[in-house]
Amino acid sequence: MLENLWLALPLVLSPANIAAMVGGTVAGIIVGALPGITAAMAIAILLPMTFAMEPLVALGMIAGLYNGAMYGGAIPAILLRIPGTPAAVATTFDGYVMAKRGEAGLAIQISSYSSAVGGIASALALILLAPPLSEVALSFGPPEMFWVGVFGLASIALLLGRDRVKGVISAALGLLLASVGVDKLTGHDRFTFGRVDLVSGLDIAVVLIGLFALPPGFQMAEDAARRGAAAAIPKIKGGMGLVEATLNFWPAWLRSSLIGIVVGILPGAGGNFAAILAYNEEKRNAADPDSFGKGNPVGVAAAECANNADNAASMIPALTLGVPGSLVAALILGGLMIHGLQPGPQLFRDRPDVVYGFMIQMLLTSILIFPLGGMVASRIFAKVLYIPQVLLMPLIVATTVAGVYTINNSTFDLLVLFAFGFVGYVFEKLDVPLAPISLGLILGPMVETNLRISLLLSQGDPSIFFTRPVSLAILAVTVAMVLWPLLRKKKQPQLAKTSA
Amino acid sequence: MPTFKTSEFAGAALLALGLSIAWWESGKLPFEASLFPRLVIGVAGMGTLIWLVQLALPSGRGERGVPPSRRLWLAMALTALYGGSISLAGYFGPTILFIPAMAFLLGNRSHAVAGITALAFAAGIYAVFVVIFQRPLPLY
Repeated sequence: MLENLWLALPLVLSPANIAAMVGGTVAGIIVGALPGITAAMAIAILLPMTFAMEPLVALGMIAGLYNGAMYGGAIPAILLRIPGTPAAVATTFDGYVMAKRGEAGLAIQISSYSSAVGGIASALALILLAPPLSEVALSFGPPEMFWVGVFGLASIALLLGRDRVKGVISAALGLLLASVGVDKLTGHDRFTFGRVDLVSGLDIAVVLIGLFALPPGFQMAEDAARRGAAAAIPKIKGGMGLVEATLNFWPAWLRSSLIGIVVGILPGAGGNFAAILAYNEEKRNAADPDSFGKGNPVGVAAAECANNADNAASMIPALTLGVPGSLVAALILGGLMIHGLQPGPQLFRDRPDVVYGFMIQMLLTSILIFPLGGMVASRIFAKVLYIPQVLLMPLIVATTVAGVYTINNSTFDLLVLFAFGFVGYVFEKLDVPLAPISLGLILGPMVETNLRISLLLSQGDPSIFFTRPVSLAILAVTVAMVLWPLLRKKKQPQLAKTSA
Repeated sequence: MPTFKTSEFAGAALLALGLSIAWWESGKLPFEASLFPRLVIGVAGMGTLIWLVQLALPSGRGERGVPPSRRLWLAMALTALYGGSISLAGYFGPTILFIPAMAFLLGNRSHAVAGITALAFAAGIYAVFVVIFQRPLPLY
């Protein structure tokens, strides 16, 4: 592991890579500061810009976008009580109150330090845990990889949304979309309807961008009439040195980082969940829990630290097993596939420069938040809040169109973009989650290939999926995860009865 | 007053129709090529059936949602028109027209700002995509 890190370090520290990381972090903070644009959407919009780059440079920009956006969401959360990203909801609880009493600068400074610390802890966890896990995963055979794919799909489909039935439908649709094109094993065209453009299948990037970049744009169009540009924002003044912040917040940072890392590794949970869990934990441990929600800086520190600690940790199952544990991880894997890199344990063996380089980039872009979260930078980033949504919406659409066109220089891709943009918008209105579709698209080839290879190896005998110890273990975890919410639901009325 | 969720029922019914077409289409394939798609269509189909049954039951009723506004439909139509015009007139011309047109549709009345934004944006996209990343965009 150390050898691979040492080999990847000079590649990461190349001028192009440094520029990509800094540019990505700045872009991420700006986009994260814009309410209504999530980190996932930011990555979806800017992903096409990375196509012309070397894979490691592209990943450097994406790492910066990811970490930057998760911090950037705190800026409007503190200044306007509007979370820039869903993960910044818990930051509004105390951050906005601090801003109202003239401590906006202090709140933003605390959130930048906390975000950086959480990101660093998470990146270190990724570096320490991913390589040994990938060694274990390399010993998995086709039946095990099939169940790993099913586990990933089931966890996102069943845990992410409110309606499990819709989650399963969404995941199945993603798997179906992944089967469009030539079947690699038999050479037959599937669901191409005679169109040459569909023979090579649907471009994952185009579908993901359509699903995640356009519907928020349409939602902005719906909201724009009701809400114009932001009203005056509080002055950003005051602050705190890093040493003083460390002395004050290190216990909260330690607990919140651990919470964020554990939540990040679990598929289906996200930065939002990590932030709220960490916030509640700090409140529970505090000597004055009633001060939370009334401008307690520890509340801001805990929420921001945890939501950034979720970032790199969520890439652990994605890099080691090829199973993204979050929507952003799914988009990042999509970005890897676009560069011809197949995510999974074999990537550690075939392209250690890319994998270890990416882990270092997650660490360095977290460190970059220290200087970029300073007072001067924050005053500049806060200016984006004055951009009216009536202008923002067409700019997002135009940027998305430019990006998608440049993927394959194809106007057919624009048709796919708008088709899935419309589908995504309709699905959101019907409360059908979109994350499982993206996961189905990414995992579909892996799940199908391993299913068919397993059946070939066993000469059609399906018991191969149920007789290997590791397969059974993964299946047991999947079943437990499916049944756990149902059992918990059943227990809750019983608990209510006994306590009455 | 909880009401029948008509739009959701229509969405589920359309989905069921789409899955039926996919099932029929996959029937033209040999067994090996159709195995996985049919498995997946089966799962999606069962899920859709459960969804339809849930909606039909009294417990599946809910509050009537707010229908999309006329402005939203116009915004979608304008976006589709913009996308379609790119293959005929290139990227930059339609984009410079699209931005102020959409902003006007959404309520912007500061036309100078929208116009300047559109021009600056087009210049920025040209600089980033064409000059820096060397990714061509259709000029006409």
